[in-house]
Amino acid sequence: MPLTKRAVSPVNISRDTIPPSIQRDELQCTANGTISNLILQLSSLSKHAENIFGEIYHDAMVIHHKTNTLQQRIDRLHQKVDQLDATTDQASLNEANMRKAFKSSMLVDQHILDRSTLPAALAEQYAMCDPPPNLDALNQFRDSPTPALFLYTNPSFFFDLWKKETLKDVAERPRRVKSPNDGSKSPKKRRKQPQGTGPMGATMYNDGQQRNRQISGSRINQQNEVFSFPEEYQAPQALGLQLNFRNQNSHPANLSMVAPLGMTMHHHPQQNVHPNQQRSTGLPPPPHRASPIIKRPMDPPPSTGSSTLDHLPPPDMSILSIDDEDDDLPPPPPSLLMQQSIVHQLPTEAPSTMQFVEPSAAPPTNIPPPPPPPPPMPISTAAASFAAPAPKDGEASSSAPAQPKPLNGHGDLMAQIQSGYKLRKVQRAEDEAADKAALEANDVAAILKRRMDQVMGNDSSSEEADDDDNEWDD
Amino acid sequence: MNASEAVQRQLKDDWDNREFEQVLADNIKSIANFLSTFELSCRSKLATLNDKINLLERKVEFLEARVTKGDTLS
Repeated sequence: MPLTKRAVSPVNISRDTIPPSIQRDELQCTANGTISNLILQLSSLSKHAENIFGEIYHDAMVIHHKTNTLQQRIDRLHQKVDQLDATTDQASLNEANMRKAFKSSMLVDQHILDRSTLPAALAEQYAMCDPPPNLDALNQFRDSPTPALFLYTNPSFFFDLWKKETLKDVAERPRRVKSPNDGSKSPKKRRKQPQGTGPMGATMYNDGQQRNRQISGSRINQQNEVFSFPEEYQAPQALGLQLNFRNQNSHPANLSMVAPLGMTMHHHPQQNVHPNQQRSTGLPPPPHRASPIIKRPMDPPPSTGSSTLDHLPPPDMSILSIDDEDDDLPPPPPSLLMQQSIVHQLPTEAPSTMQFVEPSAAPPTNIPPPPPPPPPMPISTAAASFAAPAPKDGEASSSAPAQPKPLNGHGDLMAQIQSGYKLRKVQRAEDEAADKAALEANDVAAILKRRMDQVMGNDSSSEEADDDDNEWDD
Repeated sequence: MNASEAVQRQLKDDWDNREFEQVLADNIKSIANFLSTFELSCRSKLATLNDKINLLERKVEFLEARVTKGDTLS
């Protein structure tokens, strides 16, 4: 709706009624009245014109003043720059460090539609309006502290509403936003511990245990079946585990182990009980075939730490964790088909694997080792008789959810180390004090800033929380 | 006959007056129109100029802060 800013006063200039005293020359009278109204219109128009020109003149003067000031500043700046000499004026490093951070003194426009910025013409229009009724007289009969007039008219109603809405979220947000960070924090700590201690020989035991825990689980077993295939057939995640395979293959028990592709799962229970017997069979170790699961149950963790893990760089853990995360996805269906097909293609190897089984009865061996990850029996029907599904499911459920999280924590850690964020803390107190003062003055910018701090800047608070972790973890 | 002539003359004068008034009113409207347009264009140009000067002020302020020496924390 267009808002009338200036109204030229007499309208309907020739519709006046002729006074009854006039008996003749009525037309002449009407013409005179019309012309006089036109003159009134002209005068009103001149008044508005004067008003317009006055405002424009005022604005122009403000700009002129600004321009003059700016010109002076530029002149001074020009002089200063002219006086600068690169040869003599070498800024000392200390001085550069002590320099204050630049802070603009420019004011941000706000409350643009406030009463104080009302143009004079509109203020006149407003002054012509009827004043609100004197409802303040009823204040003494009211229970609530709000004046009665505010129920009738409240110019700052929408601003107050907006401010309340904005700041309400600010008060609520911190808890809500922080909760996901808190959830990811504990796994991060768990994650960091093996990483920091990994390279050191003394803590290898923990490291080995950690890895055993990570790779245990039915789905991982299925993946290990997949890993026994050549690298070209595998997704990159399989390659990530190759490092681990090689280290495990160096172990004597692993060297003796041939993973006969589809049948690897049947070995686990027996291997736990008779590692030496299998070693005596002395089959040539194919480089990539042995699956980590086979070795893991019987591996004494200290031996793996001393022999293999010394060569393991800490990033190996991250690679493992990536695999674990990928393991959360359902195993690719082709692997199952390929596995079964290869089992059929290699019937000669099946008897050899069965020989391993013979020395110990298969059913009893399934029961004793609770820690060993049981084979992925659902894949092939032949494995069903040997596999122990119950412990496998329990382990999978316990280990699988914990594994995906540590990687996130690790990535965060690296990003935080790379970015310097410690300086931010120092200014926080001052900023918050200034914000509070501005909030009471209905400062729009301050309110918005607080809001933005909550919506966008919560990463800073989480970074601080993570900072604490770093300090004692590293 | 005289009466009708007088009436006709009055009507003719009235039409002339009305034409004159119409010309006056039109001119007043055009003046008002011009004033509105003039104010609008002046204000927009002044606002543009003001923005540019504000930008210049910011730049000059930043440059002053860059050039200023001895304005340290100590």
